[in-house]
Formats: sequence, C-alpha cells, structure tokens
Amino acid sequence: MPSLLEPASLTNVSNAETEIRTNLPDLYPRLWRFALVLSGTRDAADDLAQTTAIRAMEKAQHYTPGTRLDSWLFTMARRIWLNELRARAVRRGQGLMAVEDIDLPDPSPGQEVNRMASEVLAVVNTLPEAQREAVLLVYVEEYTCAEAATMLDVPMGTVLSRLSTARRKINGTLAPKESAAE
Amino acid sequence: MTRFTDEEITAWMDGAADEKLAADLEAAAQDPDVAAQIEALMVPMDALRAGFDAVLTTAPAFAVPAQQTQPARRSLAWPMGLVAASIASFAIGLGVMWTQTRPEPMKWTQRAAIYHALYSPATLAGPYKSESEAQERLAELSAALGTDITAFANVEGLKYRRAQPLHLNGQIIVQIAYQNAAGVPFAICLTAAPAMSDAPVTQELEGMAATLGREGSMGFLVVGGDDQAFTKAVADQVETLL
Repeated sequence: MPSLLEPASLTNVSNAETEIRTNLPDLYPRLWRFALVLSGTRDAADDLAQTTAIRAMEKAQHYTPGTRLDSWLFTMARRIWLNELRARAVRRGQGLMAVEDIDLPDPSPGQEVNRMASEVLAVVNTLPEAQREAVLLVYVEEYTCAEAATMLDVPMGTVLSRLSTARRKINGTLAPKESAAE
Repeated sequence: MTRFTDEEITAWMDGAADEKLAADLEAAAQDPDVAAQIEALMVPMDALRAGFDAVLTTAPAFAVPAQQTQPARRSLAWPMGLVAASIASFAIGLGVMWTQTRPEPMKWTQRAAIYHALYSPATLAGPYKSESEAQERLAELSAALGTDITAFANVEGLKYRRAQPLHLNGQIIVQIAYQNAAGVPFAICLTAAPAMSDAPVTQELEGMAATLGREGSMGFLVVGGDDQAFTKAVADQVETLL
C-alpha cells in the first residue's frame, strides 16, 4: 500500500479525481441503467446513481487511474444499493418496475427489433435481481463471466448458474417468436 | 452420450468454457438431446441489447458539481507540509499527524446542497404525484422525522415533486423536492439540528441560492436556483409550516 507521504500517491489521488470528474458525465447513463436494473424503479435509480456519483468523487483515493472506471462505479453502486438503499426502497414499496414504465421508443412497422426488444425487456424485468444484474453485466455491458463474478463478489459458477437460469426463462417465454438467437 | 448441465452449455455459449468442455460440446452438438438443450438456452441477444440501449437513451444527464475548495483538499495541496510535519513529529506517529490534517466535518446543509446540485429538470420529470399521494408520503416521513411535515405538500411558488429520507451520520434528513414554474429544481431539507442558529441565513451554496435556519428543534435548508430573495421567501413559509 503506498505511503501517504509519497508525492506520487498524492498525484495519483489528484489524477483519479480528475479522471472520475472527466468521465462521469459520459458513464452516467450506463451507471443509471445499472442502477435501474438493480432497483427496478426510476426514482430509486435516480437516487442510487446520484449517490454513487457523489460517493465516487469523495472516494477518488480508492480508484486507480487508468483502470476500469465503469466497473469500479458499478461495484460501488451495487455496494451502496445492498448496504444502504435497498431496504429503504423496499420499505417505500418500490418493487419491480412495470415494463410499461420503460420509455422504449414506440415500435413502428418494420422496426422488428423494437417489438422484440420490448418483449425481451419485459421478460428480463420479471427475473430476480441477481439474474437481472448478471444479464446486464455479461450480455449488455459485455463483461466476461469472470469479470462479472469479481464485480458481484460471487464464484464464476454462480454467475453461470444465474445466466443459464435467465436464458431458460427468456427462451421459454420468447422461443416461439424468436428467429435469430445466439 | 455425455450429458451437460445448463451451466456448462451457458459457459460454452458465453465464451467461458475451457478447451475440453468446448471440444466435448462441439462433438456432441449434433446429438438431438444436446441440440435441444442448446436450443432451449438461446436468447435473442440483438433484441436484448437493443432493449437496454433504448433504456440508456432515457437516462437523466449528470452535471459534475463544481470542484470544492474545502479543507478536504488542503492536505493534498501541500504534500511538502505533510512531509515536514512527519519528520518533525515522527515519534508521534502517522495516525496523529493524519488526525491533525483531517478535514473538518462537512455541515449537513452543504452535503444536502451538493446532493441537490445534481438535480436537473429531467431528474424530476413526471409522472407527478397527486396532492393526496404527496400528503401520504409526507405523513410517512413525518413519523420518521418526529415532526408533522404534511403541510409541505403545498408551498407557495413551488410544485411538490417527491420526498425521500436521506441519512447522514445516522441522522435522518428529509429532502422534499419541488420545481418552480420554469421547472428549476428546489429542495427543502429538514433535520433535527439544535446546533443551528435561529436566525435564517441566506447565502450561495454550491453555486445555488440557499436559506438555512432553525425553527424549534428542526433545522431547515431551502436550496435551488439563483434567486436568494426567493429562497428567503420560501424559508419564511417553512418557519410557519413547522
């Protein structure tokens, strides 16, 4: 662990804060989307994303400049959600978000992907929180299963179990309609 | 024929299978049972990503608050001072030195203002609560705060948007968010703060107009916009509502 007396470590803190402040606006939509997947409601996602953004700037000394700021933010958001905000959200009766609350662009004739996208989102929204976050991290954010396991602080087998269960559920709901699956 | 678990097939599909598992699965993929199992685990990834990309476009924007020039940065600004102090009082130890350079605790009003500085009109976009929903919500928070704040559903010059409990050092701060007619976000924050001055103080806080004070045992902060006369007028209402 670097000494507090080393000017280099102080420079790193300054660099870390600069990097966080510079990149937060661009990363914020993804942070908010992760917060939405965790919390299930827009109000709770707003709170969680904002709290995480503030905390990230306050805790810049824990970030190593030049590393994955996005995964650092996601991990922090998840910790804040589990330790501080989830119980409060449950007390407030904020449950799973209804799919009609997601402002997807209106599908129009020829926009097959939007219709299917709405249906897939609807199924994902019915998954348990642990499966939703695994699906987002691996299939949308494109982290590897090993990276997701580290971020979620679980063994990789657990991530694979959550993903396979999610795959079964999504497939079971959509299978008759799906054409190009992978 | 080798049987595979769903987890193994998922690992293979997601690029997490080791070489042996991948080879075994590729060799067995023509088996009708294995093929059916693979089929049952397929997901329309393009649609999944398109759906989540669409969600991304609805995310609120984020404005980084102005960098603070508070003591939090003082110990970083003068590293040589830290070095000198450590040499002079090495025997005292790093822990004591760090205590000496540790920033003053930030006041709750400033923490609340920093939080509110992140609000934009999009943060408070509808659908909006009805007055009865607002009162119901404020009744819940009244119980947590120990003071009836249901009257805060109606503040002249502002439209109620939502209310939430925040916590600082184990103490509840109720934040009630509003917008003015132009959509500018405002907040009234309330917490038990006997150490605050009775006389309201109007000032700039985190680049916004703010009026803070105390009514009885309840500390309050009115923050938002850039019109200090307006936050002062709202604060006058706050004193009558508490």
